[in-house]
Amino acid sequence: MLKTFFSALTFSATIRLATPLILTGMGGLFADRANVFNIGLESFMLISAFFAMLGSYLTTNPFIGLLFGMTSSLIASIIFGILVIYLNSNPIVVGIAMNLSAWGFTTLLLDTIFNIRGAFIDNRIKSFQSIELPIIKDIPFVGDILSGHNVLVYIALISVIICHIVIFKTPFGLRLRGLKSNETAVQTAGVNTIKYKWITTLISGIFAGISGTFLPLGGLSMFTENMSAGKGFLALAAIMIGNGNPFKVFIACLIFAYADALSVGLQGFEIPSQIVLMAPYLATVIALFVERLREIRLTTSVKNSSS
Amino acid sequence: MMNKIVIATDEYRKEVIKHLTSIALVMLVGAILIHLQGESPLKAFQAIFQGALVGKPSIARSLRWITPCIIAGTAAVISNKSGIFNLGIEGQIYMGAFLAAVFGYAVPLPRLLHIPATILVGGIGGVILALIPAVLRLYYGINEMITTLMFNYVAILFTEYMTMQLMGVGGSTAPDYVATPPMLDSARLTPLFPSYQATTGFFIALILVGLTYFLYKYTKKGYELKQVGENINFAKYGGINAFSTYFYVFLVSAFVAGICGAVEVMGAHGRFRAQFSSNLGWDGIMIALIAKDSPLGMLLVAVLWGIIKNGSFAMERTTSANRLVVTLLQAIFVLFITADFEKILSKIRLVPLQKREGKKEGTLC
Repeated sequence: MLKTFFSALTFSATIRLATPLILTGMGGLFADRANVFNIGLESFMLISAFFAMLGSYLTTNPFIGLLFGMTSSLIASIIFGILVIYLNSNPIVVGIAMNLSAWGFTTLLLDTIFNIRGAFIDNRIKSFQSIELPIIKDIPFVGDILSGHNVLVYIALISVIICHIVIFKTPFGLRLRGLKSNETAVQTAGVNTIKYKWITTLISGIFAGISGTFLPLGGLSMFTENMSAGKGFLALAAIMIGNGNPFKVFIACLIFAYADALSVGLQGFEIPSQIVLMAPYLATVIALFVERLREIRLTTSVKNSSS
Repeated sequence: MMNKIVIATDEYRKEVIKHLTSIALVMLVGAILIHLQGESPLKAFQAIFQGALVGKPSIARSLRWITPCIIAGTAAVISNKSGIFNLGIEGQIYMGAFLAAVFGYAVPLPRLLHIPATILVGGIGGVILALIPAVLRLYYGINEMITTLMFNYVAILFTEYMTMQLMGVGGSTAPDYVATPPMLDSARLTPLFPSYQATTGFFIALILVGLTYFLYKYTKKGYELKQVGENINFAKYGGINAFSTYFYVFLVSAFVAGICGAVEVMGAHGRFRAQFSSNLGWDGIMIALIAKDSPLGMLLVAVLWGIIKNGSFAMERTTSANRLVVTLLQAIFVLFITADFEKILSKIRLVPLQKREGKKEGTLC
């Protein structure tokens, strides 16, 4: 059993399962920084998963699928933006309604176009090819874990670094960080906060599009009803734990995915999968609590030193 | 005084127009969607209407769906009124349903005692799940939306796990077959019409709405609760203990959600099934939202919501249209209702509106 915990197979699965979480998380953390609370990330992923499958089915080319997926998710994020940023609707409500609509919409389309309920498998849906990394492949343990994934996995890993640079090393990132801590102050300094909300919402749409594409085209080559199955919420949880810091979000995603990989690997043993699957959600609550305690300690120590 | 009335009726008219336009738009979208599926929209709408309202079986089925809609809506109204976003209603329904089902089959009691006790246990199930988010919110200021959202999944997985433990090792693991043993007859609610799933749970729902209405309309406590939601600083200044108020509102909302789960298993299901709730909690939140958190408005919306839900099942049985059309339309309707349409209108005809406003002001002076 211990072998399952530390096998290269489990770690490799972790990276694969973490990919949609990382991508959605990286996009979503921008919107989180701009104070756009988006629980509709789930719907972006589901819509893009369907259209990515459709694109790949029509052209037998996964990259066209990616294009379809990103475009559809971008459109979904524009709808979200119009409702929340332009029309001042309550983001929670819009998120809930969009999640429900996405589920209804994709299932209906599946029914209308392919006359199928539940799962759709077809030879014409082509997934991304896995890539063997030239040098890393030959390193014994690490090679098994890192090599042999498809291009989206590597995009996800690289995006963590890019997001870190954008947030901590560019003027755009500086303003975003300001927005999170004090929106009014940033507004007073002459930053168009509405514009920032729009840009970040669209970024989260594009990333969720890539992430949604990974679901049907990341090796499964199929689409199932409600395929995102709570992954958008998990990504949101990772953003909350990471507090908008790309590397922290990345680590949270890895931990969640590890729990997921374990729940598959441990099915033969006595540990029930539900308990393992529950871990990420409980971990989120605990992480928020710990983070808060730290903040409280910091503020009290500042108070004590000043008095 | 006159002006106030004029403004009030004006607002009212705008609201009515907004709702009617939204309904018309949603119907139009629905007609297109059904047409795309190769089914006549007229026939589908007819199927919804007949399946929901014509004949005793249809009405019984509608009452069956109206009941959980009302109770879940009440839970949402209670929390929303005091400015708490309880997104965990879905999970609280699961916990309430599970505990009620276990209590209903494991503890034999006389009927007169068993039913209230089972409902109480269900409510407590909801409260258990809301306790941690409530404490975290009040003592540590952690956003209750995230914690309740996370606890939904915890509840769904936890109840599934516990049910499988109860079933023993030999049981099937397919989600449809994961269920607790059937509850004792003494814990089942009486059917309103024999052999249909509508039960006296409907009256429990009505009583809950009545109590909520009475609380907010006629009692001092209700006024305080509302005040906390509308303007917390004013409420504090007026001597309301916002802290304990928040705490109780949170738990009462969860208690009602737990009752919703209990009534579901005591009425329609008779046992707890893993993943049984078809988005009832989210339905409740949307219903409360459409009704703008007014208890009576919520009752009306919940009745319509239940009828439509039942009608959609009927439509799927009798026509080739997919039930999810209706789910999609309900969600789109919510999107229409929450949008601030006046902003669009004022942007489109910016100049004429300003002119008209100017005129209005002139006549008022």
